[in-house]
Amino acid sequence: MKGKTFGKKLFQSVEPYLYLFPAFLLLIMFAYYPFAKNTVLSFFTVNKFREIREFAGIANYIKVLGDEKFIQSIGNTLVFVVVTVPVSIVVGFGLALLARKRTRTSSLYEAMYSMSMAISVSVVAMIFQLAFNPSMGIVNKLFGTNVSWLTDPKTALAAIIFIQIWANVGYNFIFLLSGLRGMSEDVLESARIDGATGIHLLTRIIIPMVSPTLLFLLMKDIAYAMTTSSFTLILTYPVFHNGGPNGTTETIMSYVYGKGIVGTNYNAAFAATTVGFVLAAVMMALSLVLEKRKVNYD
Amino acid sequence: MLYQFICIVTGVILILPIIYAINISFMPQDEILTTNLHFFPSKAGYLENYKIVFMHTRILRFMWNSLVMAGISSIVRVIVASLAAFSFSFFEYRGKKALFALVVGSMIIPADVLVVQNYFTTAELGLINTYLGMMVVFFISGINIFVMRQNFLSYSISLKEAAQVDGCTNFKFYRKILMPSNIPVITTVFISSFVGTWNTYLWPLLVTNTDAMRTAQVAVTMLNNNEGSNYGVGAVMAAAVVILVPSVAVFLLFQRKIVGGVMAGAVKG
Repeated sequence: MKGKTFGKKLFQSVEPYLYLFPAFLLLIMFAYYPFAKNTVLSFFTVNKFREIREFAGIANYIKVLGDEKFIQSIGNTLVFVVVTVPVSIVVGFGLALLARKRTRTSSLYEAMYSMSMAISVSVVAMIFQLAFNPSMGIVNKLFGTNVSWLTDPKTALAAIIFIQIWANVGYNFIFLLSGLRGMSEDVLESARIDGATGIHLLTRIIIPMVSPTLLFLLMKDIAYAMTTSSFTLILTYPVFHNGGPNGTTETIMSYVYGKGIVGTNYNAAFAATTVGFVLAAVMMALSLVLEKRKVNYD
Repeated sequence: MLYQFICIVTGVILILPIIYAINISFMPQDEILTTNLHFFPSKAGYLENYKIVFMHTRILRFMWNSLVMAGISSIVRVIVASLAAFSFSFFEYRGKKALFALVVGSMIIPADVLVVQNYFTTAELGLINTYLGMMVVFFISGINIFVMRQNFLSYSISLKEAAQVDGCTNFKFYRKILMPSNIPVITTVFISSFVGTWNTYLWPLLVTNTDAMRTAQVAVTMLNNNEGSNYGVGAVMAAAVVILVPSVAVFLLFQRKIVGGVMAGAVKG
């Protein structure tokens, strides 16, 4: 009897940890361990088998930050973030406002607005690669232009930004739509009775009410955009074997991919990864500070 | 009526790239190459591009690989995340706050930052070109734990205590009461995870290098880059349309559920 209660007690005290075990095993193996390992190794010189040769201090960082190509990739990434994140949230929000009111055909256009969420980056890339193709693409045929959108250094980044915005809109729309529909009608109604209309209703009532959703999307989109590389890797790597025409589409993570996976320059790759992470964290913290006073959790 | 019309026209404009891809997939090569603007195929029923895709590429195998990867890893993710969320929302124990902070902390490490090191880990575990290797990094998501905990917290602890009085163990409570009554959030997590994993490109590109293990997403880009000259862009578009169908179908099937307000609770908006 006594043994049984002891066993029961022991089980009771470890039980909550048991439920956490799978999550933490994976979290440590595939998030904290690689993160720590990358950070530690970035302060050492490693050979091409990733074996530590000697302590390097910040030499890897000095070297990678002295690489013109890397600085350019940081600039490209920041441009990418500053354009894609706000534009795709604003467009998604506009569509959500348009679709908020339920009509008989709601489900039809809701599906169309959110569709891009269901389509993979590689399919999106294939479609736009053709659309932007200089000779057979629809973009040039439609506008009578003769631009090689994805290979011209002047347009390549803009084209990739455009593609990314299209790809993001569906996701942002669907979250903002459910945010808008989750608003209490009473509050909206009483605001209307108080005479709030148009822009006023939007900025004073609606935006504060969906601000948690907006903040969530902002953080997610920034984290994603800061570490983006897919469109660069699919659309411009096979052609240029590095970050696009004159490096104009190189992002921080495509640079890391080029150094660490294609090449075996791990010293550059590991230091660049840490720089990329720190910049992403700074961008997220910045948006958090900007947004903090405006978010309404009630 | 006008309002709905505007809404629908906006929608059609948004999905123009998809309509474009579908139209191209039904065009013969010479019609695609013409310098005139042909948005719609000039004759209906040209299926050559689809024949090429199904007869000359292993498209069904690629899609099966994608399905296995996305399906299993999403199921595992729901289980792992819900168990952790269950622990965080219904128990009091030492270190709970610190452990939860670790979950939240992991959310600020973007997955792509970890790709290179995770690739080495996976290689050292001998999981290159295996389904497990393709899936293992998707088993865990801090944000899913966070979202589920948020939902579970609104669930009264007294209900668990009442269940205990009735002789229900904690695990039974999780399995028989908590999970069934949180189907909306589970659906949300599953669908978002499925779509996300199905769509992923970089990770399966890294950990697979044989044709048989390629996912549809990786394969379609290779069709274009390496063999595009043989098959033509019409076939690439046909392949794109084929691999687009299942994810769009799943998405449309569950879309009403997702939009039906469940995410409102998920992000507390």
